[in-house]
Amino acid sequence: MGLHFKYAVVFALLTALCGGTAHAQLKGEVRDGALVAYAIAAPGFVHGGDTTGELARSLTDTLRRDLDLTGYFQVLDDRSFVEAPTVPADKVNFKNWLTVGAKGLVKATLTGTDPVELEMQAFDVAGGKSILHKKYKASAKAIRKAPHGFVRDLVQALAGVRLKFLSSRIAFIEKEAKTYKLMVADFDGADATAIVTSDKILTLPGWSADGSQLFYTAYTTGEPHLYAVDIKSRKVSLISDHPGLNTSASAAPDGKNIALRLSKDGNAEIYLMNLASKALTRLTSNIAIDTAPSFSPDGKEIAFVSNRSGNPHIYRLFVSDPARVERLTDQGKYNQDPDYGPDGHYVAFTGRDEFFMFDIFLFDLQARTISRVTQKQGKNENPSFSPDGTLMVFSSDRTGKNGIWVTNIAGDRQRQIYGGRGEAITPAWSPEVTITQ
Amino acid sequence: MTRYGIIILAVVAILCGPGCGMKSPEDERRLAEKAFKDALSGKDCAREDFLAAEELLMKAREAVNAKKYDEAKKLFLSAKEKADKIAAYVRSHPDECDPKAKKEKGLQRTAGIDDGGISEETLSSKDPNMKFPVIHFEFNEHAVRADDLPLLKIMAEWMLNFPAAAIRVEGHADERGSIDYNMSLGERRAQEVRDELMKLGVDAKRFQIVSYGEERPVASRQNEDAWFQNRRAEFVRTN
Repeated sequence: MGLHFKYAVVFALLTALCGGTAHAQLKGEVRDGALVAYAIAAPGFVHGGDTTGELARSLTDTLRRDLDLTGYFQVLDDRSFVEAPTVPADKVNFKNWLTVGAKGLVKATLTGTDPVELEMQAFDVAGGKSILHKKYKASAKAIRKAPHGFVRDLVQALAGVRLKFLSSRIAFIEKEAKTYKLMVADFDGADATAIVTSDKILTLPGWSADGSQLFYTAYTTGEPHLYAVDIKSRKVSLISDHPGLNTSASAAPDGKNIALRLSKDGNAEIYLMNLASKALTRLTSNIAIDTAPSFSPDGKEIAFVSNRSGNPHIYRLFVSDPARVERLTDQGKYNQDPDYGPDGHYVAFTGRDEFFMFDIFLFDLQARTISRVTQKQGKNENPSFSPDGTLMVFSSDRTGKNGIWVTNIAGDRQRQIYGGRGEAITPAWSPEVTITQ
Repeated sequence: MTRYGIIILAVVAILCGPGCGMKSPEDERRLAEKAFKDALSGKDCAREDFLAAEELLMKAREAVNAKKYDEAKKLFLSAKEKADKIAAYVRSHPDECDPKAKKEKGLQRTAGIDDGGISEETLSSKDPNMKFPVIHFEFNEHAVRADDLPLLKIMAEWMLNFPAAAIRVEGHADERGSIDYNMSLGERRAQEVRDELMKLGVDAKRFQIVSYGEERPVASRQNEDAWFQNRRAEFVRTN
């Protein structure tokens, strides 16, 4: 990505926690039977005396999108605001914000052109107190990512929760005509970049445990072999070239092993590979198709797909005793693409419903129940959890073309983050990384 | 309706709650069954929808038997909706759905759709430049269909007649289902075809297997005929 937060110096972190009252106040409240999020006003960023510049507008959009994505906030419509955004942070009249129903307020000012200085401050409107105050200095390009860190710190200050997704990336494949691109974008779709481009098939990307590399399958030699590419240097290395399929790598949390699907002995099975020695341990032994491994957060289990019952269903195996296999889904006839959630609570998967529609579902590992996330919105596939488990990314063709979408667990907040010229498919959410360098 | 009637209805509704209707939804059943009958000619050309409608109808009947009338009503309505959709598709795609028109156009499934006129009659296993047949599969299946066995027999004869030829069997899936799973499905199909040829006496060493999953469709439309064309195994000579 090579986007250097060159001058990124956070001058001051004046986290005024309002006498300790702010913590855990970010719980939604119930009003008229509906859950209402924390209402927050995010007036336009001010740059050179107004809010209309390209950089100011882009940063305003980023902040509002981030606040919305967290699920904690209801971002107020700025057309209702009575106080001009140009009023300096130290001259704010909080009554003006109480009248528009704001509980919180974020003020932001930019100075200079390149590098740019950015000052952001969040207030508790009722108390008229500062919650978070930060200053950033970076190149005009890198400063665009500053709101991600600010929102992450704001949620941390208000709710005591670290939303890792605010510093993460999403990888996916984009197919356009005969060209395949392995794409990497920030979690909000910004800075989408082709890391590998090929006229041969590229498919099924998966992140390394530290988020510095992507595993993917390419037909460079005509056969589906597994490679890894370093995100920064874009150096490609061969990981596995056994006869047959070499695909579907899922990184173990220890960073030393991957689970993958090989068909070197004729039938698709799941193997464990030590990345340093390339030594293999076979985990499944079944005449059926076994594929699509996804490691549990503790590395002890692997969710996978098998058609050993006749139709594809979601199973899990225990790495220390791989003969112990447990079937998870028993509804439907066609369940695929499991993704083991980072909090160990859910396994997300693609299921086909009684109308033959493909949608995102969740299997609750404790309650052993299935809930539906997407419905009546085209074909939705390939869910992948954000590193904090609060969101999922998936592909959807609801606009007529496959794009990349993000949803919360409940499925009532779905947002498109990427729609390119080609078909964007098979997204994979990275672990927490630093996206500003 | 009399005032008492309304009161009785209200009382029943309260006692019953949302889980149970009063009586079997006969009107909805009749309409759904009629719509399904009208959709029968979509059995092949709109196969997925047809199977869905069939399943809904079945579930609705089960719900009636279980006295879950509200649920049954909803299912009958959904089945009717689905069946109407199939009927509309049949009307707008006469070439695809009418078996007579299909036969005239040489589009019959058993003859191998759109394979450039390749059939057991046109293939000669003595021709060194024989155009290879394409083998098709049912949804989520990798077994060779009985209809395609004669084509494989000719392919085996050709391979026995030209023992120096090395062949790559390429397996493909349609666009439905996951990219990951479909790669295995494509591989299984190619393996199954190779295994059939081995049974007919061809040496295993002459084959290479590769699966392209759903990446290389030959037909781009989203209906059963296109999907059927895409679920295939192809032969490519590699030497």
